[in-house]
Amino acid sequence: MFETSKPSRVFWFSIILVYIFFVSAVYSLTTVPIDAFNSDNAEQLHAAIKLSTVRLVGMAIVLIGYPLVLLRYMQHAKDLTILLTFWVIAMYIDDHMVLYRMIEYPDRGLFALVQWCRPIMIVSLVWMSIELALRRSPMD
Amino acid sequence: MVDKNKNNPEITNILAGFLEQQSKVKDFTIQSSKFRIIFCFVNLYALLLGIVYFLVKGDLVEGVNTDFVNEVFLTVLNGRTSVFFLLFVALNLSAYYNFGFKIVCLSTVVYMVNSAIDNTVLFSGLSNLIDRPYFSAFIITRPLFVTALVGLFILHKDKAKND
Repeated sequence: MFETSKPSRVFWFSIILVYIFFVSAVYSLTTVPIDAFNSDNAEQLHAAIKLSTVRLVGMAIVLIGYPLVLLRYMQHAKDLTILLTFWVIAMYIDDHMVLYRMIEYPDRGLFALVQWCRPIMIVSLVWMSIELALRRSPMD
Repeated sequence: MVDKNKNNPEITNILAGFLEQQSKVKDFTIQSSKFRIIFCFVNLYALLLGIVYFLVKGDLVEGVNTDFVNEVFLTVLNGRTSVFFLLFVALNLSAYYNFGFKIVCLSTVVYMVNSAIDNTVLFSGLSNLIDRPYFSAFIITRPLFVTALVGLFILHKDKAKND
């Protein structure tokens, strides 16, 4: 399926989507409306913001180093992408199956849009993982 | 008695057929003793975790501060145990059939690390480790469990040596 050793256009499109999502998530986190905390579910909202901050710091570390790994160490890029995909899926499952009573994300503004776009980012990462896993390495 | 109706080519074909069957039976991977020991440890740990979960859920343990076992915490605990149980079943099945073990093992490691981070962020301020000694034992030994899973990931052999 992936005969050439160069990533396809879909791969680059996916990676751009992931970075756009990440930048949007960081921006939305810094611009959460103050009045959102005055609502009845302020405790859950606060927990969600706290958790998102920790997660985004971890993701920032990975995504800052990712282009370097992708361009220099292709084999490790595959492992890193798969690891990142598993992590993002684990966070999504955790939020919707485990922590749904503990945390609550803001239901309006950019934050809500970012939450809505999470499955798209997961699909992008899954595509990147599949392509890197099935693609013929330059050594072959 | 020797069946004289069968000639040499037929006997050769029958023997070849048996050899093929034998090779199919032998086509399984023998994992190292280290792998088997770690795999037993992981299973034992998961079993103990399951027992503690049912003891706390059924309110069968004395000496546990029940303040932390509120409804929200139980929901989180139920969810985590369900996901962990699914991953654990998948881990054992993939080990038995020797199919996709590394992927399942990696996803279990990632899930465990992620849940540890989530727990630290969300529940760290709610109670002390002394308030929940049974769970604290599992929280403290969580790195050991994750290390064991990483060990399984590294030590697992996908294919037989004779391939």
